[in-house]
Amino acid sequence: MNDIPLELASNAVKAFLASQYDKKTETEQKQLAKAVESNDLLLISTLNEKLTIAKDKYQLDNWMDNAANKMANQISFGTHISKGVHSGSKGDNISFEPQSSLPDGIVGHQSINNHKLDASGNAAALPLFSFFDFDVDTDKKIMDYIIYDSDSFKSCLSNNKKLSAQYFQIFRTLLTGEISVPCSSEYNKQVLWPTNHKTDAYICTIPLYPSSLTNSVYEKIQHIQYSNDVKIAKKNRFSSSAEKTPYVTLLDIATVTIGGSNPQGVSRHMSKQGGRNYLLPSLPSIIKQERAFKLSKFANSIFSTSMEYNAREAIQSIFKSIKDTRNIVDVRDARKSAIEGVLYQIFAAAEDIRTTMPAGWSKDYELDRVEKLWLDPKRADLEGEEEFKAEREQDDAWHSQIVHIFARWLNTLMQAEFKEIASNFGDAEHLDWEHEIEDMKKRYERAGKGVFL
Amino acid sequence: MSRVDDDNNIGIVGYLLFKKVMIDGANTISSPLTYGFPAITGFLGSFHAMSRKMADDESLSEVSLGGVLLACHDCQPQMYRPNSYNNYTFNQTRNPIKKDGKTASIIEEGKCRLVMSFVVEVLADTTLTTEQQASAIQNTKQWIQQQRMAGGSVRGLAIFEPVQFFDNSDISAVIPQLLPAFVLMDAQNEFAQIINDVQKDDPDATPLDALIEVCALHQIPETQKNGDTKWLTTSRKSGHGWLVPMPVGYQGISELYDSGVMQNVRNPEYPSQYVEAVYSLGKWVYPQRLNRIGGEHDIANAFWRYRYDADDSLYLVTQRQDF
Amino acid sequence: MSKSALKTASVLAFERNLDVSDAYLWQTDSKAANKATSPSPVVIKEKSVRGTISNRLKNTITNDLAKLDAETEKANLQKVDSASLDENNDTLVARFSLKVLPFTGKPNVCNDQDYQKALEQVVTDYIDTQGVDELARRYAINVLNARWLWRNRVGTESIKITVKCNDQTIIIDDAKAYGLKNFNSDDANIRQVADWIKAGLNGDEFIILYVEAQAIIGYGQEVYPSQELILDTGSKKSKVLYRVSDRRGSEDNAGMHSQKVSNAIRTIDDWYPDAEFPIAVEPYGAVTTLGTAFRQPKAKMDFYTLFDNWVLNGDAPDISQQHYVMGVLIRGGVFGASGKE
Repeated sequence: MNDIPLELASNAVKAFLASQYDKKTETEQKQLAKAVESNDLLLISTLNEKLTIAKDKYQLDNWMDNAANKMANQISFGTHISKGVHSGSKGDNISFEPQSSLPDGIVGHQSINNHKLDASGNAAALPLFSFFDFDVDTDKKIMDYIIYDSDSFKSCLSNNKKLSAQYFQIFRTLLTGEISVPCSSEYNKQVLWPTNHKTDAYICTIPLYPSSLTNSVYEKIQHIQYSNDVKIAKKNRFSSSAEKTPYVTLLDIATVTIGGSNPQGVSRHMSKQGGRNYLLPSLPSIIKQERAFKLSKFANSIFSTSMEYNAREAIQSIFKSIKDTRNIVDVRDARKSAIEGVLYQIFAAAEDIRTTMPAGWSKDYELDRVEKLWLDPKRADLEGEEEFKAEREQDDAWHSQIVHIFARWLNTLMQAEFKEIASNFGDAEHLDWEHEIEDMKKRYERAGKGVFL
Repeated sequence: MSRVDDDNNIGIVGYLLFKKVMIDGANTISSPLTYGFPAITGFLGSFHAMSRKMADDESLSEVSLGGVLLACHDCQPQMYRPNSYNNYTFNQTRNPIKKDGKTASIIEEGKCRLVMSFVVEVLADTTLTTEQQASAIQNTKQWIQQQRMAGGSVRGLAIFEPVQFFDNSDISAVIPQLLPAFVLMDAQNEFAQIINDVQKDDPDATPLDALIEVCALHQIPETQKNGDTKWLTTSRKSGHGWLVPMPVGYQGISELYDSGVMQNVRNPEYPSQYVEAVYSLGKWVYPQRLNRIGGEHDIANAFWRYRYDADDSLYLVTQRQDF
Repeated sequence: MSKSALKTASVLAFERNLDVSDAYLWQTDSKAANKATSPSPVVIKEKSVRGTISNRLKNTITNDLAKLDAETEKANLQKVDSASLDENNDTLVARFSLKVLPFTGKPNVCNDQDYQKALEQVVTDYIDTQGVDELARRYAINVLNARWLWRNRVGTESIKITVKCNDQTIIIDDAKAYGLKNFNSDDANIRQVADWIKAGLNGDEFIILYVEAQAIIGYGQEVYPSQELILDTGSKKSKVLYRVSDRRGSEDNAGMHSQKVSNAIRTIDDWYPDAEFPIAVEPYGAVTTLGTAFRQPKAKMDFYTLFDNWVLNGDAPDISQQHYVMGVLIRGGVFGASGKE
């Protein structure tokens, strides 16, 4: 960027002071106009007195003196703030100026285009923020010039050259967050990071709250969820006459409120966001079962129609992947992953039975002995069940029998599904599929009964 | 590919499996941008602490722990939303009142209940004796219950053989033991590709936009021949598997201060640095996807480790083995 | 270096040594023929209530009769959660586990070596002269007197408590026989549980206690799980109860928060000034339900005053306040100087 002429810089500062004066004395000015109209001389004189005091306050040297020597001590700027971690923290804020880019596929502060500097501190010092935030031209604010070390601004903050340079330096130090004595707080999160496996060397890392980044995320998500365009698009979807436009929905977003009922105590961004910040979900796709898998007393295997229902989605995707006869990696991958999905369902149902049914439940069930050994593990510890325990622990064959029962069940399902299209269903695909099941079988046999214990 | 930690002799001699570890009150707010599954560092930290305890144990002083495989059986954040179109909020706990009898301001936290299995690399310069294996199983089973994990408390482990030792050559036998669960894999490369795709469609889009895109569903109207509208739902991650945004460590945002310089740090004996969380994508895969060493989905690539890059001030958790 | 030059570490934190789990609520029937059937979960149900307007109305409304009628007749439709036993069950079964971790006085975090040394010395001296016997005994009584059932304890016919540790089990048939007012009770069962807790605190053994209460409260009676603190419940629901679940398909299993159970276990402080009943060990003796802090700093009986005098000046308080200070350390928390108001 380039510096601007002194005159323009000076005008910007004057414009800021004038706008502050107008804003702060809006009521008095209106009252004055009325008083003049009604010729209320007493009121006119008291108001004029007030306005003179205010004018004095927003006179260049007075305001800057107050800003540089009082407000500057009560406010701290940063892209990263301590109070966002814990509102009780008195640790430093940091204005981060990245020196390097991040590796591909990693997101951080460098990944936002125009970051907005945040500020935290006493409300009485907020006018200083407004000063820094004042627009000089279309895309530059006073703070940008101060950070840039603009000569013009360096000389227009006071009628006294020396004082002006002094104020400028104070502001610049404040904005760039130069820290003389770094100071954290016990309320800051602190994480020891091992830097060398062999020597017990660590660095104490202190993560700060990236409020410039979270502010940007807040605005993006706010736009996606609540902007007018989106509201209209959603409404029109269900109206027969309106024109349909695409829109975006976000799944499972959470909000966290920082600063509780006092977000302005945390920072300016938090104050503007009402403390609200959005979080994206990292959850695994744990399948929420509508109901627990219920085992019938009279079933002799858990591989039943009931299980077929339980795992119906995964089974459907196996069918789909087999019907897709293109012999490409994607299809084979989909097939593998569909079997994995069925297995996941079965183990999830088995786990449910194993952990929630009381010890010895299988005594009154018709289930195959081998499946009882698998699904009623706590029975082995009951009195009089020594035989069960011995079978479970010493015998090595029962687990491979379960794998066989499973493979047979799956094959039967496949054959039933493909009976009608058997003619279109080439031998090669069929063999491929059987190979898949065989593969899975071997893997589980190799792993031994550890899987089932 | 070297299976050795680095150029000295310490190598992976085996693996410890911790089966179905139930954790209550784990920190579900994993970073300023993500929630759900706790940050990986929360687990690595626990096993690192455990490794240090080994150093003080007579029979295990030559043994340490390396990378950690994370398999999630269940993860339930404690949160609430009145309707499916509301965002979630985290259920809070009432904190003790202040000394003046007033309620203290709420510092929001988010907790979750987890059931996890871990496979942890066991490092040593010689293979473990049977006694050492037994001692490692015995000790780590107790330690894991005594220390906190991802901010939560360990409530218990699997009833049968909760901690097992596997020989280095026997690693594929671990895989079926992880069922039913999802294993967390690094998807940084897939993310780089998605960022590219997103920027192809919109040159102004940032990598941050791409991160949000991963959680987005595009609702697209398509007019049919008969004039009806059919709505298509598309997602950037389709075809990629179950991708999720997650924190993968930190980058420095200040200079690195010498030990003793920064005030009010927990460990003044070490250097310190202000950092911010950095993010990438993770991918939850079925454990059956993983297979023996050298295969396409080599299980050896599923172990998370600390990595520190002083030049770029990066503190990352990674599954890459070239560290 | 003289003792008086010692300063409180700016960062100082203790991890809790009594690690309590959530309590899960189950139900069963005391008269059931087949005692072997395992209890079923107490399930939280959502119900719609048509409340009446009972809040104080604005003057403008009360002064206008027509408006008043309209306003008070307006249905106050609300949804609330509730939990009760089934019609055929009369017994509430509540279970939690209590892990006891070694208490050595070593802080979890402390950034001042000299201070840490002085602190550990104070704890060592306490353990050598007093031991953790008195604290362990009081915690044990609070496990056995079922204080941790809170409102569920009120109006019960009888409460049976079972505590399991390793391979041993003790059973108390009438937990209510132990009062809540004082810690004078003493018998073999209390001593046994106290011994376990002591062994855990001393690090002699790794201790987990599995505690179960069976409270006969009557068929179909209401049960009181913890209430969730939800900052935004929406406008239609005013009460959300705590659902715990240790299995699929049963996400509505009622529970009590671990903090609530743990608060009851450490309700052992009857050493505060003018004490009339025991309160939970807290730095300022704060009792949330009463909105009062019983150990005000101006009375110089709060944790920080007692603790700083003891560690920094070697000025040990009397024995009962020593128990209190150690109770706070066992509770855990952030006690450093950098974050203090």
